[in-house]
Amino acid sequence: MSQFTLNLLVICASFALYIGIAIYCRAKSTAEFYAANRGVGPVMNGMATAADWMSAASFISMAGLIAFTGYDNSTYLMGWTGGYVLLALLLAPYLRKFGKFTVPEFIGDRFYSRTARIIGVICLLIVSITYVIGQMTGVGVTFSRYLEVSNATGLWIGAALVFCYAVLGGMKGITYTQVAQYVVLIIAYTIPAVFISLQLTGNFLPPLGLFGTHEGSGVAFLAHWTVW
Amino acid sequence: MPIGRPIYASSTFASRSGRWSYGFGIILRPLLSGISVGGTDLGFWFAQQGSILCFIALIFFYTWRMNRLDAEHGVDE
Repeated sequence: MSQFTLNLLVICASFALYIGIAIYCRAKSTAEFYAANRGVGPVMNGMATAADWMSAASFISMAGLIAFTGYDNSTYLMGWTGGYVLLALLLAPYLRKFGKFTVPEFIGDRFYSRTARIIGVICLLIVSITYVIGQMTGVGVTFSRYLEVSNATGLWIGAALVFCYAVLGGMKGITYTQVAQYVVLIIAYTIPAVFISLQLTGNFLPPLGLFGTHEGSGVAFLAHWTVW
Repeated sequence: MPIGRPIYASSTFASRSGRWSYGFGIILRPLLSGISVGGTDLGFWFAQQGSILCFIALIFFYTWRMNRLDAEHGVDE
């Protein structure tokens, strides 16, 4: 069985799983479509959010940026996670208690201002468009490598698949699909990281291995990287 | 909506503790170049791992405090 056939089989199987989950959990009302009827537990939600964060933007882009630019791009790391903290602490609990679905609506009502709501919508559009551009570029690159087609074709295929399970399932279907993706992603992330860390620094845990000593030469692994 | 006090408490809290880890990684880094962690200095560690650990601790502490506040005022779920 050639590598290409194996790739095709694995991709088809995983997407069949995601679309199957989306159909099984499809949304039956507006509340379910936009907010999963608030019936998704915190662990599931956490896994879905994590799968969101481990997508093309960080798997391909962040890793590449930090590898090529060096220490200066750690600002992305801090900004990203710091922004998540702000979101989780200052917006999410109130949005949940608010009862409706969208952030701009919440901001408009919270501050009794239509202008705030419009600004919220503009920010949302700008952020979403930039993020989706980045993600879809990653999708195009990935699919074109796996299926050995051109970049544009890969992008269309990926977009069609995502469209299928997003429209079929709504937020509820997406959440459960992302839980499945999370499991796949966390395994895919952890195995190479652990083994690279083992080989290069003899330390089982990658976060500790990064600050450990290089096996071959005996000097600290990051000894070359203190230039700022 | 009766949000009032908890929002103010949270924003000062978040701004004080969150900016602390930014400071360590960017602004104070030359100052702390003496302290070394594995082959590099403390600022580097903070930028790559320490700030994220700080944020996680922040989130847990904050939710614990807010749940306690909610329980006091009878609006917990």
